[in-house]
Amino acid sequence: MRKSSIPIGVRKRLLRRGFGSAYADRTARELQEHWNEIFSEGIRGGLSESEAAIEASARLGSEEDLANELSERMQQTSWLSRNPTFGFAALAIALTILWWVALGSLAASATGMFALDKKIPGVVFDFDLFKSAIDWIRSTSYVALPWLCCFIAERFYSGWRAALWSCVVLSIQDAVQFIELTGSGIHGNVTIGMRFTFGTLPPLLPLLTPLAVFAIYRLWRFRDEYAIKPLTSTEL
Amino acid sequence: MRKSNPSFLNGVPELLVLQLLARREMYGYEIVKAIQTTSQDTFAFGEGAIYPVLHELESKKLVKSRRAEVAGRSRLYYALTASGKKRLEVLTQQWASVAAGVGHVLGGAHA
Repeated sequence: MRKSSIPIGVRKRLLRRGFGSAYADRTARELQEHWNEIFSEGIRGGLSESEAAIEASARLGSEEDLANELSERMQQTSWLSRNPTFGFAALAIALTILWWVALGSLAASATGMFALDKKIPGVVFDFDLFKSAIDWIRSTSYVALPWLCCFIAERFYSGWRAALWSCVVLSIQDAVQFIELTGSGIHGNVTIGMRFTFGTLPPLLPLLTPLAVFAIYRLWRFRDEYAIKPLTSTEL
Repeated sequence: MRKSNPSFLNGVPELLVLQLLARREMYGYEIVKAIQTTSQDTFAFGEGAIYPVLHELESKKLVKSRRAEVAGRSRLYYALTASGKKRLEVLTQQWASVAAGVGHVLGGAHA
């Protein structure tokens, strides 16, 4: 059976727009199967192979039109992709809050902070360990949250611009937020807030890491564009 | 105040696909053929344009798909879900209402 270039072209365009490879592969496979049906119909109708191939391609539609229609339709399927500017800014902030509340509580619990008032025998709060845990939570958030935003943008057919926007929000947020922990032993203070001054440069690591994660994610997907994989059935 | 229905005016492909799938499960090429045959070639469109509609419906859980091999060919069959049946009823009622309204206007124009 001959192959059409249209499904591969549509797959590439979808990947370039930031759609997931599973969805792009599934779509390409369906389009190829449809093309095969039209091609077979042409052959049965007495056309030569090249005439049937031309007929099949003409009836299937152009790569650009199909990719546009798929993007537009799929972007209507979720609130996030219909409102990417507000949605992905809110997503970045909500994920940051969730990350800190969930892992911060876990760290506080693991280091014995919640047992301070109860005076449980054998459980001693270790502020230094708590400080290390907070540093770990902060460092991992620079990588994990942008990756999560990119994944969600892909999963909800929102495109790479939405993913980039959420990474920019995370980057600004990481640069201006601060958590100061002072003290040692079982006593210490935790100060959380936002700080922005024109006098000093923002710290570069929190500012650049989310953008670097976005760039790596895009490069990883760029590799998918040229990967030839067996087309498999996938769920939406 | 009565609500307008601009989304419905863009929803004709959904209505056609849901109506066809209400009869039995079908694959993309079969749906296109059924639309062309039953509408007596009223609708002209690139056949690949059926997939954006199907994928959107599937994403909204109005249809579901399963892959099956028939006569040596692997095909993705689509079937209506319970939500799809409800949506079809709503769209059909809206269509009947719009068609009746248009009919009244055309009838008035000829009177």
